[in-house]
Amino acid sequence: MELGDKLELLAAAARYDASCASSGSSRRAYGGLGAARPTGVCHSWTGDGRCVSLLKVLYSNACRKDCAYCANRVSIDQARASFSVEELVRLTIGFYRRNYIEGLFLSSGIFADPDIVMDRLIEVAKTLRERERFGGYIHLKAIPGCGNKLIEKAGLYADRLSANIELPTASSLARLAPQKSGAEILGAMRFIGQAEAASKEDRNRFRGRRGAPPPFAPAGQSTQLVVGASPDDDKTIVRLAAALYGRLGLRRVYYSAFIPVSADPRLPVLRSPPLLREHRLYQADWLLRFYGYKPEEILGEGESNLPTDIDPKTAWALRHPEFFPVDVDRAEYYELLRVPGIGVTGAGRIISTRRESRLRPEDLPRMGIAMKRARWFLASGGRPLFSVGVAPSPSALDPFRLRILLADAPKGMAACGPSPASAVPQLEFSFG
Amino acid sequence: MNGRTWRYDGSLEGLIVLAHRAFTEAGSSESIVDVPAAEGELFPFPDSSPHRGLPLRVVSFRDRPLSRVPPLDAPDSRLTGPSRVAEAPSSELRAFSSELFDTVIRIWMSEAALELPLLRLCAYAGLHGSDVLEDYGNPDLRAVAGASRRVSREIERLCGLARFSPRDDGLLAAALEPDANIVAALLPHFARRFGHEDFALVDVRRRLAFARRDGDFESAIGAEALAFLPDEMGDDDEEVSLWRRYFEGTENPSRKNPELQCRLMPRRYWRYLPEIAKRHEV
Repeated sequence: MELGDKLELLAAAARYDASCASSGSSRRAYGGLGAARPTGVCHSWTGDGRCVSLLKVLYSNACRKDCAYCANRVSIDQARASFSVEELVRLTIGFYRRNYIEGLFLSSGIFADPDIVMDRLIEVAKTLRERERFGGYIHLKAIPGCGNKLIEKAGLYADRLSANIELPTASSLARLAPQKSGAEILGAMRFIGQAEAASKEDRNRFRGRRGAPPPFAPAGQSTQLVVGASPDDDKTIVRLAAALYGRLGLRRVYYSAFIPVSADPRLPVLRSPPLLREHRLYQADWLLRFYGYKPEEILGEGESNLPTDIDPKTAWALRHPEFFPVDVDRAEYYELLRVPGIGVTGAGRIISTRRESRLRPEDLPRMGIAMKRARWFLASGGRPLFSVGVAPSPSALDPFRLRILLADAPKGMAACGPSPASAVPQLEFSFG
Repeated sequence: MNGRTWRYDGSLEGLIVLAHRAFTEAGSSESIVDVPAAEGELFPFPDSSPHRGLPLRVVSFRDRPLSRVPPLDAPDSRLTGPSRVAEAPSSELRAFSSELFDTVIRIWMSEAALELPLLRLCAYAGLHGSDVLEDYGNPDLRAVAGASRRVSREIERLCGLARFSPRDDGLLAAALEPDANIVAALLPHFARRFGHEDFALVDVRRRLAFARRDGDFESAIGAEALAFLPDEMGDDDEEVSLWRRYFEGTENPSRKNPELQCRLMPRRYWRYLPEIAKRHEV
């Protein structure tokens, strides 16, 4: 197969992996081409609006496994191909010189024993780093089941490692991907976390002095969950994500809406991929990471799934009228963060402006506050902002009315939640 | 101070010197006012001006493209450090607040007529400290913050959207048409990225170029700037065609959302992006 055909095939095979981040690492050139910077760089956007930052391909789309939801499962009759190490090195360097990419994201089908597959991925990274002196970003997939020594080696060449958890419960994994082992996946993630922590500790001892050991995966690790292929609800997913951040120290959890690529009686029949559900999970994920929400606040008692008509932050606000209105002149940072329409930047600006001068409500839109939302939840000078310039109405804060006003189903996203008949599964992975 | 007119020729150095003066000398931010230049007049004369008697006047004069090329004394320093005349004012402003110094440079790059609020902000900061740069109730800060953010965003975008083609002599050159005069600001990023390779960044619209060859930095304007570009921009070489194949492969038809694509990567950038220009005949 020609290189161009192979490239198109193995790029298409990797497109279901949501991650394309090139951030979180700072790496000077190794004496050759390339450097990584903490903020990452987007080099293009595909027709689905996804950022292209890395050359994201599979080493091979040949796979021994038959996971029901996977586009590369062994039982699908399709062309199979593998790159050689040299081909991948050539593509990475060539594209990098043109400024098409920040680096390489390399994963693979499990075409052989996990150790052999992992070894191939490491060989590509090693050639780039040692022979080509490449300083750009490298994200390697940690192949579950491979030896820890190989993961250790991979972490010395890669900026980021990831092992995809795929499905949120062991029972779903057993049903849809019986050849995969939740224990193996979590084992790989746990090992990466430990190696990362040990590396940081080692390097701290050399702070400011020469001879520090090279960092282990300085951009940390990430993982991905397929959303909508199994009956698992959002509560299970959000709780799992919180545990992955809190206990395993993951940098990112990605959510990928299930796209049916083959017929399998174990899979749900969907009219379209659950993109809106994926979107809401990302919003919930931000609340976990940047806004200090706990999983049980995002989905309250008796709630299994995130609402589709409003975002999870607004949903929390409507469930907690006793928290509002928040006084924009006096509220603490964390209180401002609870207001729909106020983000991390906006809350910071309100606080810093208040230190310097009196905050006027008319300044808020210029500070990046989305007043369309925020005005229903803010007060200034003892007066709710929604009543400024209008006659106060007793029904103005009726939660039902507000919910309609604040509904925001994103354009172009299909509403498709899980079946209400789904049983609520338990969080079955152990993080002990 | 009284009745003094500060003259400004539109150059980066000029603006830095003025910003420094406002920061150190202005009695209050309200004392800085604009005196519009009459047509054909290089500088207005304060004595005959209706604004006569005001303590401070600022004149902006903005049509001398030659003076817009920042010198390349130290390409690895922040935004290619300004020339000697502005060296001391730059150091002092930067020592006071790197955010204020960056804002001055970004406002110059924005090419927007925002000198007046910028200088008032500098004066205010000089009197009240750098915390005022976080006071979004301040109308001058609001005026410059938006333009400054737009410039930062343009720099960020073009770090990713510049596309390089190799010339016969191996130099990698990128043609750009940025919204603001930011090409010099891209230089440190690409110098770090390209290791020892030679490269050039050419602003086609402003006819400016910055390059690094054999480790030395240089700049050019006019036809000389455009001469950095290869004869053919490599639209159909093998690397480009592989990149197009990759881009086609990586798109997910089940998630198609061209509106989002356009919002994140506006069409004005497409002309120089081989993965998309041909497909959409830009």
